[in-house]
Amino acid sequence: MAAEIEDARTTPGWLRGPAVLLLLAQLVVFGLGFLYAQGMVAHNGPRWILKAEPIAFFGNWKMFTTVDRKQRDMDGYAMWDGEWAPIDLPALFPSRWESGPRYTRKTIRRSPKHLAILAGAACGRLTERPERVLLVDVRWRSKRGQREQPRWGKVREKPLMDWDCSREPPQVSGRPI
Amino acid sequence: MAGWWQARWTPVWAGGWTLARVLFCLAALYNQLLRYPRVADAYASTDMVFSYKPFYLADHVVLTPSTGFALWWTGLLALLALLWGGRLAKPALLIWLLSGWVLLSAEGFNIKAYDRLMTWQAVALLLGPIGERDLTTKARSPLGRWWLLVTYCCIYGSTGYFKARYEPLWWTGEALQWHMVLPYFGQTVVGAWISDKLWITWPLGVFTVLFECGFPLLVWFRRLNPWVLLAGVALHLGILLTMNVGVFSHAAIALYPVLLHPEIARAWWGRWQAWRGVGSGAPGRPGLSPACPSSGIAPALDR
Repeated sequence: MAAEIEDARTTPGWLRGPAVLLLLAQLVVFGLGFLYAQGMVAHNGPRWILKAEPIAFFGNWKMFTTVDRKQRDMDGYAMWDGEWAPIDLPALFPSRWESGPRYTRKTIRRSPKHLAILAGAACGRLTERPERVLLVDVRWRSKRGQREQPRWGKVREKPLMDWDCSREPPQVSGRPI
Repeated sequence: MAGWWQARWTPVWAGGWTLARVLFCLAALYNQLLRYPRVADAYASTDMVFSYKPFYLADHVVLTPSTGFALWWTGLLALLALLWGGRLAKPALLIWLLSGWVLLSAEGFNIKAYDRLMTWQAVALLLGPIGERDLTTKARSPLGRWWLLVTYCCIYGSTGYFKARYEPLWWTGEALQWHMVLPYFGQTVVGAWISDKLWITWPLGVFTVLFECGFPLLVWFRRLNPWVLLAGVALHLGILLTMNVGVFSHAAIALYPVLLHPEIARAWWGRWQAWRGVGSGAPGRPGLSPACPSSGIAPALDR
């Protein structure tokens, strides 16, 4: 038993060609994204493909592919009167997504410029302005079968940025609106 | 050839679009509410502004918190209009899309998979007949559904291919175990519990790769279509239960009513109406019209 159809319409003939072109363009975006995800155009692609990255971004679907057996976090320290003290980064930067707090993004961790912006913001957000801020990347091995993943075993700590709070962090050039 | 081309454009039952619009809207509303606490601290932060590929909005404009909140409220109102439907639906969808992408581009680092998925879906909704009422009695162009099929086939196919090609631990169940305890994405109650139980993660891991690789090949066959989509619902509910991936599962399932073969969806709707004792409950046309072999609906009408 099927529902009654009282009104049937479809794409007019003159629009069908452009509609097919639209679908082909969609396939091209996914194709470009696939090439980017494979790393096939990172260094040796033609210039027009490199320029197409913002478009390819929508077609790049590589999710939870490879295994990561490590936990990762970022610790923060601030210096007052020559003494280092831990600071509460989640309280200073509360925004978080399911991937974690904003400050733990790989794009920040891997860029000295972005780390400087983060450290500069930490200097400004602390109630008492410190002399320096230190950001440290922390890694340790995951344990299967448990929710809590406390630091254990060989914990690797790598200083990412030691920032002098008297300096002006790099700024973007956009006009505030 | 002309007949083949004409048959491709045969109108298909449009009832699925109504349910898809509502489910999409609910997923987007949930996501919109989650964005609110981040507006001043991230989307329109004044002390932590980044410019990063592929979006360099902050090199041109930096959102102040009041602009950020104005965009957020604009998006919320647009979603409510989309939920209401009718003629407002498509303009509202466009406004939500634009306001949302300004916020996402201003933040730069946290454009998630579901943000991109929902953008693809929004285009499908714009191509579909969501601006009309009473779609359960109408048949419309298959273009929006094609767009969605291409979208889902490319997304599932791509991510499945990478898993099958580059990570052999997906075939042993070990990859899923480690994903279940990933920082932030993992560590849910159920996910962590199964993360050391290979007898659970092995079949789930193999199922995931087979589904993702098989979807682009199997979803087109009418007989297999509902079973493939049922497997997809199971996959996404499983992800929802075991991982933290935001509204990805909600959004992915939201457009499944359109992916369901329109004739099957139409038959199910008819049965549902008959069971409820609503409408004429008239039997559908069992024979297929020679002009429209795929749907049994009246020949395509170019109005």
